Amino acid sequence: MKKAMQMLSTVLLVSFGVLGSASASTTITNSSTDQCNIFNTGSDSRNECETNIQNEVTISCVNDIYVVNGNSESAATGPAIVTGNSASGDATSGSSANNNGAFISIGSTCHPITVASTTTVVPTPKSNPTPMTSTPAAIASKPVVKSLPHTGSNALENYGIVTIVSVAAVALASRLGIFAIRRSSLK
Amino acid sequence: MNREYSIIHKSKFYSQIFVLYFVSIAALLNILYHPQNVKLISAKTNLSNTISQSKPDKINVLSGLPIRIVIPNSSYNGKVVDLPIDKGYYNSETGDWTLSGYRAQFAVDTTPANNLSGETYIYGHNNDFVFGALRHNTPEIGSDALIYTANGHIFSYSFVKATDIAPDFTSVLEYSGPSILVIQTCTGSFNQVRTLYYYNFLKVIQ
Repeated sequence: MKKAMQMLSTVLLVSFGVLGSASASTTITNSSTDQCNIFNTGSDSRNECETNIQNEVTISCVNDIYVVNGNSESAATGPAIVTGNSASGDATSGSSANNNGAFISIGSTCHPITVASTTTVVPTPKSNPTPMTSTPAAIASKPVVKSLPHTGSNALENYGIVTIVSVAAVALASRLGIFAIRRSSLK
Repeated sequence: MNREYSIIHKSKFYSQIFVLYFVSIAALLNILYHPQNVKLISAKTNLSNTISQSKPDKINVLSGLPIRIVIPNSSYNGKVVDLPIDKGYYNSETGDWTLSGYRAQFAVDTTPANNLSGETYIYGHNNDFVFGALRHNTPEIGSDALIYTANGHIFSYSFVKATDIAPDFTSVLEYSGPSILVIQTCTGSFNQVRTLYYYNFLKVIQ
């Protein structure tokens, strides 16, 4: 009996020691979410886990959208004026077609963007050929003009005038110089 | 010592005289041959507000290749501008234009004279045989210019304004709008400016 009491007391002591040390190492974790976990608690241990998460979210989605499509069109056939060709003949003023496409991409709500597309095709009737006063032929592409005509006066004329005036000036100056030398030498 | 001083004194005197003459003659030449006080317009300048005309709904379109230009009120030294007009071509390889010392040119890539739309571009030298009169006396606003065409029409234009532009300001050849006449000649001390004389279409005389 005595032995049994000793064994029981030993077991109790060991078990209390283990439990005491376990209660001291209680772990409280608070994850980034609103969860609070407490592990390895023991008797008489006081565990507090306070989670206070405040989230204030203000979402303001204001869409003021104005789409204005102004399209003023007029197509008219008229005289075709052609110059610079060596052969004569007729020119025609042809048909024209107008293709207007509007591609609109608007984020009109807080939801993903909606896409709309419109297309208008306005053909104009083909006109009759128009007789020409001038000469047509194959219409060549216009040359890319890099400078306007240089319409300055004849350079030779300018140089001639400048030369004559310069010679006259030098002659006059030398004449004056000779006059001055003579005068100084007389002194 | 006296002689050395005299030589220095003389050389100073001569050099002063020479400089004085040179400056006076240069100034005189500039006044005689380049009377206009010229302002260059940047190539980026917009000339879109040039001409505005009302257009009737229906129009009987007449047009013709310009062969003669007359500017009645352009008298200079008793001579009125009255010139034959040749066809003027641009050579894209050399960058040169057809040019005569005694006649005007019609830029064939622009619009022939007509009573509807487009720019009839006439250019010529600024000497006294061609458009020297315009260089000396800018036309009065409203004064006439007449274009005779190869098919017998006479178009009358009315002067609006003169504008100086840089030689590379070629967008003036891209005009679209009511019918106008543009006369171009060179100005500036070294002919570095292109002066454009804008005329609005007035009427068909014949």
